[in-house]
This record gives sequence, structure tokens and C-alpha cells, in this order.
Amino acid sequence: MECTTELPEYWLTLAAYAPQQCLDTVAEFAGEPSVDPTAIFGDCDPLASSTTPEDRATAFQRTMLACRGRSPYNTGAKAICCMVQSTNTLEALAALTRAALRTCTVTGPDAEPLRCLSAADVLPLMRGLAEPGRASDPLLVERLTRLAWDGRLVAFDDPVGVYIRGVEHHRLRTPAGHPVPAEWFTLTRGTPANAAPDGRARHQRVAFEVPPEEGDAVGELIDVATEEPIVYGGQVAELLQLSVYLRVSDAAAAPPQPMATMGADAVADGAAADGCNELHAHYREYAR
Amino acid sequence: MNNADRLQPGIFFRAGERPPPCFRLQLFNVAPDTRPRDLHAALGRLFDCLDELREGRTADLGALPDPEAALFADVCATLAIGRRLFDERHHDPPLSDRPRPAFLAYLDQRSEAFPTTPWHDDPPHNTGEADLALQLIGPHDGAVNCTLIEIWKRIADDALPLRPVATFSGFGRPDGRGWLDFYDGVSNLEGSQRRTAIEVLGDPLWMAGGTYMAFLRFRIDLARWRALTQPQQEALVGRDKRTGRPAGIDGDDPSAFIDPPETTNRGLEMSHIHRANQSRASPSAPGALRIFRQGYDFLDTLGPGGPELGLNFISFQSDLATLQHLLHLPEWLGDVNFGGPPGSPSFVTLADGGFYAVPPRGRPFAGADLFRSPIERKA
Repeated sequence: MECTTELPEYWLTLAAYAPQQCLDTVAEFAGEPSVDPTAIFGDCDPLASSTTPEDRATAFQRTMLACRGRSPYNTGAKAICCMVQSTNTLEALAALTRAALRTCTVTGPDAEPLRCLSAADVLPLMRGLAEPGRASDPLLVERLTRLAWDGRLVAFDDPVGVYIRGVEHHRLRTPAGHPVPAEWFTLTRGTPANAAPDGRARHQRVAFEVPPEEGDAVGELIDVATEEPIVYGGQVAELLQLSVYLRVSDAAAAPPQPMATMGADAVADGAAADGCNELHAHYREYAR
Repeated sequence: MNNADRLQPGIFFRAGERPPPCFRLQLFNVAPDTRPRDLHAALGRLFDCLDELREGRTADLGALPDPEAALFADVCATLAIGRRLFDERHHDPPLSDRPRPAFLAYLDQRSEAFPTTPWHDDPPHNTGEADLALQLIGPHDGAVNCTLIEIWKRIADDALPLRPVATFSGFGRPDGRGWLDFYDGVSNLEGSQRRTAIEVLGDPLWMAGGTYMAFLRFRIDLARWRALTQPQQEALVGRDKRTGRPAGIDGDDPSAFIDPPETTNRGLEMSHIHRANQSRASPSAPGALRIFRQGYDFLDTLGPGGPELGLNFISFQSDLATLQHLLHLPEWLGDVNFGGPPGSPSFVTLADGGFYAVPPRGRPFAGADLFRSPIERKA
């Protein structure tokens, strides 16, 4: 069983500018020596000299990212490459982030600021950019609102992505009652913790497999938190914790200040303090 | 959300409330072959008994004179439904036709129930699971204990199909500290956020307006804890032992004292208080994994082997999945026994425990509809 948190924008760029690498990666995910380019690019020949990056991006979008009639190489039938739902895109993440970073305040009778808004307060104001029923949106919105309230400058950590932070593997039990070891989850497409400067792993793909020598199938495993057998991929996906990493300035740094007055210490997830130039550049880009 | 909550008494979440210090959790199993309507009647009798006690009437003395009648007035009773009640291996036919909540599950005893909290006994001897749990909380032990014994008398006198199986007691300390000598519960949920964290919205429907209770009786190896130096202890907890001041906080901002802002200091991040609350977000963001704690310490005995003591960890939450995530996720509490980086000292074991559904208030008692047939419910 495989799960991915890769954003479609990455794959569109890969398809547009590195079509052979795109084909090779899809083949790797499918466990095939190669894939028929038409399964990935439709009737567009991605390797023809006359084909432009825009042609390839359009063809890839139509073939691999469509809501319906998508290629089996991105439905899970043969492979899964990236997320396709419209709310699971970099664009949606950026829009949500921008909207949530307004400084929202609950005020008292004399208009004195009392507290920043909670997710329940903010979500109705988001005009559909965030959904209350999703696991991620309320948390993202509330944390971003809090950062804005604190007067912090915020930028996505580079490279921006949705990363798999942890797996609740211990909730799964074999038919013999043994906890499933973490090693049965293979994390790829990113940087392991020991190779990341801040010590935080950044993976975007997880493959979950019962080793053949165990003789069990995934469907024979039990989630002890519900006592239910694993029947759907969603039950395994529920065991994953995902993160978006941000770089955040000190409090009271907004409205944007000259670089010299900005705090140098980063204070949020994954935000190693490496100076403010990059942060400020991100912020200028972001505010445009 | 309706302003009038339907949560049972015994959950002290409202602004200004503090839980009374005396705690007992009484577990009951339902006698085999009991029919739902008989259980309904039995629980009705049990709650009649509690009403009579509040009015100052006991089984053997009848109406008590005035000063004595007040003994039972402030005892809060909370009825909770355990996983076992839905278990057809114990109750066939089932005692209720209502669906079992998805995360109302047994604690696994074939291995650790939670990744880094081993069972105290090997093999585990968990007596914390039962069909029903009755939490009794009151201002002093006499009131709570006498209430429990009056309940026993009612069960015996009326031959009610309820079998007492275990009792767990605990106490609250007026100084707010726990066995580790640190202040406990400092960063518990802020008052205005508690109801959102506690109240079930309605899946399954019969739980709408109720809550879920986790009961985890953690044993603390105090000798092992005391073998750590004070700086080591403070690093695991994330607070100053004497004052409670969070590590890394210098100012006098009371909100930072209670709930210190998040940090990128890896050492601080691994401390217990930062692991248990990673986002500082409200419970209206489910991914924030916020729960409301209402725990009670316990001391079983002081024998030749030292004290046998610990914490009755009691939490109320709108979804038991929240607690499962919190106790299973790495970097939360899923990769360390208490606090610090993985591999830090372990001194907490799980002696007993169970998860319980706490239905909303109802007549004649909370959860009464569970034991009525669809026709009776309609009527």
C-alpha cells in the first residue's frame, strides 16, 4: 500500500521540463521497466523536439491529474504519483495560508484586543479556502492566524511541500498480536532526518508492506484503536501525521520592517535560524 | 452549538470549577443473560438510590437528620459505558442495539497498549475494563465511600444484575502538585476551550452531547524518578520544579507561564509539556489533539518494596481517536515514556485502564435509551 503527499505542481513542472525523468519515475513507482508515454502524456509525444514544455504540462494535466478518467498510473491501479484533489495543491495551500495570515482579533466592548481568533471563529470567514471538516485546514488556519496575531512574518520553508512527519505503526497488530514495526513503512521521496540540517525528516511517500516472510496480508492486520481489520487505504492514511514547514520571524516583526530590525530566530516547525535574507525575500515574494 | 450543555455531572470543565478532591471509579459488569429492559430497570434503581442519598435517605437509616443529610449532597456521579457492554462474547444477545463508537475499544493486552508505556504486570492483569463505570467525586472520602456502599446495598437488596468488579480511588492535592513534585495540570485546557474539546457532536448519534472518558491508571516508579537529578527531571518535564516556570521563559506573562510558546530548541521540544501540546491551537482544530484532563493521584500502599503509587489519568475528549493519536505519534508521546528525547528514562507503567463512553444526561438516567427497544424509544 502506498500513500503520497506530493503536490501536483511539482509533477507538472517535472513533466514539462524533464519528461524522461518523469517517465522513469512513474515507471519506478509502478514497478515496471518503462511506461508507455501515452499513458502519461496522452497523444502528446513528450520527447519530440517540437513539443514545448507547455504542451507537455497540458498533456500531463489532462492525462494524470484529471478528476475523472485519470491514467491508471495516478489512480493507484498501477501507481500513485501525486495528489489530484483541487484542495490538495500548492495553490490551495498558498491561498489558505495567505487568507489565514490576516491579523484577526477578538475585541472587547471598548475595542481592546482580547485574543486572536480560533479555527472555529476564522473558518466561516475563509470563503471556502479552508474546510472545517478536514483534519488539516482548521489546524493550519488557527496556527497561521496566531502567527499573524503575534506580528510574525511567515514564509514557506524551502522546499515547500506536505511532508510525512510520523506514523502510528504501533496501532497495527499482526494476527499473532505483535505490533507492526516501523520498518514495514518505507518512507521515500525526501530527506531523512539525519540528512536534514534541522534534523527533521521530509518525506512525501510511504509504502507499507508486510514482509513476504511474515506470511500475512495487510488485510489481516488489526488497528487496535478501533479493533477493525485494515480494509481500506484510508485506515492506514489515518495513521500518518503530515506537516507543512514554515519559517517564522520573531513576534512583533510585522508590518514588514527593514531587514536589520527583523528577528533572526525562527520559532516554528522546521525553522532553523539561518538569518533573515531568505525569509525577507520570501516575504516580499509572498506579499506581491 | 447549543448553549446548554448536556454533559453529565462530574466533569468539572466550566469556568471557575475545580474538581473536588475525592475520587472513586467503580466498575460493574452486567450479569450474564440480563435482558436490556432489566438492565434499564436496574440502572434506574441505582440512580433512584443516588437521588435518595442526595435527599438524605439511606437504606438502613431512612431519612437522616439535617446535618447528616448533607453528607451526600455534593457527591457527583457519572455513568459511563465500557467496550465490554458491546461485546457479544459476553452479552449474547447484545444489551443494546445501538452501534459501538468506533474508537471505544479494549486496551490491547497482547502487547503494550501504547508504544512506550508497558503494562505494569507481565502478563498484564488489567482490571480497568468493564461493562459500566460509575465515577464518584466528592468533597471528602466519607461521602464518596458511603455513597458507594449505599449503592452496593441497593444492588444487594434489590438483587440488581450488576456485579461490582473493581474499584479505583484517588485524591487531589490542594497544592496542585503531583507525585513528581511538579505542579500538575498547569497547561490543561483554558476554560473557554474545554467544552469544545469534550463534547461529542454526534457519531454515533446516541453519544451526541456526551463525551468519552479515558481511564489509565499509571504507576510511577518514584525511586527511579528520584534517582534523576533535578536538572534532569526539569528537562524531562520542561518546567522549573519549584516554581513551575516553563524552561526558556523569562518574562512574567501569565499566559506564557501556563502555556509557553512553541520553541525550536530541540531539547525543549522533547520535554513533556511541549510534546503534549504541540500546536497551541484550540480544540476546534481537531489536529491540535487537545483533551481535557481531570486526573487524581493514588497511593496504594507503602510496603517493603517502597510506595505503590501513581496517577489515575482521567481525560475527557470528544473523540477517543484524539488520545490515541497523542499517545501513538512519534514526537508526541508515542516515542518516549514521559518526556525527553527517545530513549530517555522510563518510570511510568500502565497498571489498569479502559475507555468509556459517557452518554449525555437523560431521563431517568444518562444513556437510558441504549437499553430501550426502537419501539420504546419512539414511544
